[in-house]
Amino acid sequence: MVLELAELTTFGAVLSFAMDTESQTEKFYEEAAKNPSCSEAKETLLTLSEQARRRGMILERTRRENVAEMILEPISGLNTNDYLTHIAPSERAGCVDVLTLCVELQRKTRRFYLDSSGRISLQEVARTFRRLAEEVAEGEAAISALLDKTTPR
Amino acid sequence: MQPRILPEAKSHYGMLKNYVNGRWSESTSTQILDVFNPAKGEVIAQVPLSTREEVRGAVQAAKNAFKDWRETPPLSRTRYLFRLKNLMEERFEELARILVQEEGKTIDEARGEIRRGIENVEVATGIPSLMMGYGLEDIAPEIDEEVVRQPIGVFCAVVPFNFPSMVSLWFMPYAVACGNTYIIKPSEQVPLSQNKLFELIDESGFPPGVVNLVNGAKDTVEALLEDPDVKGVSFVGSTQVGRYIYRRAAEQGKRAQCQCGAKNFMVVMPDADLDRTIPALITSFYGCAGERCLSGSVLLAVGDIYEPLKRRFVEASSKLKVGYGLDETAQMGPVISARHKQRVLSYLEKGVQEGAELILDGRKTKVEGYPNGYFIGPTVFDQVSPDMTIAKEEIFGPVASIIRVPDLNRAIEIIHASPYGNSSAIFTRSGRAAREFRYRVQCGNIGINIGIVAPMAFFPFGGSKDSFFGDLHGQGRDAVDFFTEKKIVITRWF
Repeated sequence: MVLELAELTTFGAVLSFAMDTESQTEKFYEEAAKNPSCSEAKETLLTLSEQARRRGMILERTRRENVAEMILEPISGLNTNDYLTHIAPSERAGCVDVLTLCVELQRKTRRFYLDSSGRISLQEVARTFRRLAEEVAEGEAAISALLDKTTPR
Repeated sequence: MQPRILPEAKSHYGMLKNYVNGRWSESTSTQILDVFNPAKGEVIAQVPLSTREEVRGAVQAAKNAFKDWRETPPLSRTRYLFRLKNLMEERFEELARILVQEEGKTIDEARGEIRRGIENVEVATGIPSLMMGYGLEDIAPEIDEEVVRQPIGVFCAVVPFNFPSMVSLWFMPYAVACGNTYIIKPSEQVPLSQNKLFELIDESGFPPGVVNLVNGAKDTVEALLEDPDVKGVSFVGSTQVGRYIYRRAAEQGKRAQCQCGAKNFMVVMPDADLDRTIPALITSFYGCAGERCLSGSVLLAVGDIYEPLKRRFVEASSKLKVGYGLDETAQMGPVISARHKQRVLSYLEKGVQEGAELILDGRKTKVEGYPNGYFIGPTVFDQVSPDMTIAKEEIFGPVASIIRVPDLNRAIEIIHASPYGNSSAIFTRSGRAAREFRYRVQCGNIGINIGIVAPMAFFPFGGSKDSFFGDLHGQGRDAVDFFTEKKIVITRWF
């Protein structure tokens, strides 16, 4: 379950939000891959699910290894409402709907990582966020390409 | 919106046991104390105050283990520490949550504390290099001289309530890596973190007697100090107790390092970058609810910075969210106990009585859902003078006292008038002012644009004047010196 917070003001809250988002993303892609109308996108969706799982592990390690209590300063300007995607497609949703949702999910997640990287004073954490944002952007491009192929012209 | 509360590791931990000679053992003591969750005011465990016989048993076990352990090659000894480090990483989140439950700090602060503990274990794994001696050939014709470092025997640590997990790790990993054996006496207020750590020590497979845990309070410490087989003691806590332990240890010919109380001054110069300074000050004054020996206590505002500094500091202080540390949105937790809360509140009364202006009053702070917690909100006094009690004594709570001073010289005079010398910091863009501060101020830990001057594991944790008794500090190379005897060998072969 994604953290139900309005503002993320602590290091732990930011990292937990990121981990919860990735966990939600992983499950969403896994389910989307089972959607019969998305059979052509199945492999990509499973890859993205695996990537989200791996990012979750990287985030957990980042939280554990990089917390520096000497500079645990309050964080401001990060609001979960800006990054939440309501991902509850109906079971009958077509592939275009699912992939459109995927693109939005990737886009918001990428933006979250980029915004957060500028607001956390711990350099190693900011670097990790930027790296994850790059990976998410690659996923976004892959889905966009699939969407282009799937969308009827 | 509802904040998410992280789950507690357990709701109740039962009666705690000692860990002696590689086994968990129940104390026979009839003296039992309750352990509280300070955010809830609820009992979460019971801790026995071990008997003198039990302390003696732990010392004997450590003494018996010493010979084999010191003969174990240093590299083999450190492998136990590698295993301990790995187990701490695996159980990191559980360790952090137990720490929140018993001490009250926020989950981020707890994670930070566990991390610092692990870092000490990591540094101690470098003992094969750190412990090396040195030598020189031909100090006289055909004569060579060398220094070898040797372990000494049984050491012990008496650790405080405010960092229940980390502080023992300033000492124990270095001591055992050097070949000594060890006894830890946790704070009776917060014994759970050490209890958990010893589960991991047990799992790491240390030989019986190498590391031991004895729960207790004052009498337990007395028994350790009196025991002739205990060769040294590391203490962190109040100045009153530290001075006593240092004297008693010296009388018995034991080594001692006693890191004690503090009154830390934060100097803000007129040219300080307030955008960066304010968050650092907030962390310094209110981190761990002000219960750090490195916490800021007095804010010395130099010249014209006074008004904007005061305004922005109070504004930022008033925004801090106080709550249960397992709520990830909480930025400050409760103080350790009902008694300590009363102590802090009595200082606030004193401040008002002596004429300071209370411009942010944390006394009425309530936390929804935790009516019995020992919470005090961020508190700021203005118009404080250096002779007031709140400017002189260690409060150990989330209380800031602002003193306006005309220049850096006056700020340093005030710092030097304090009997303590643990930590002081300056916030400035001037290299000259920073250099002067660093050069002149008589404190063990100096910060330049840093609010929490917490030395990393590979540096000694400083302290001077009434904040430290001894000459070798915890952590880093000082720890290696403290836990080893330097033996000189001069050799000539006929």
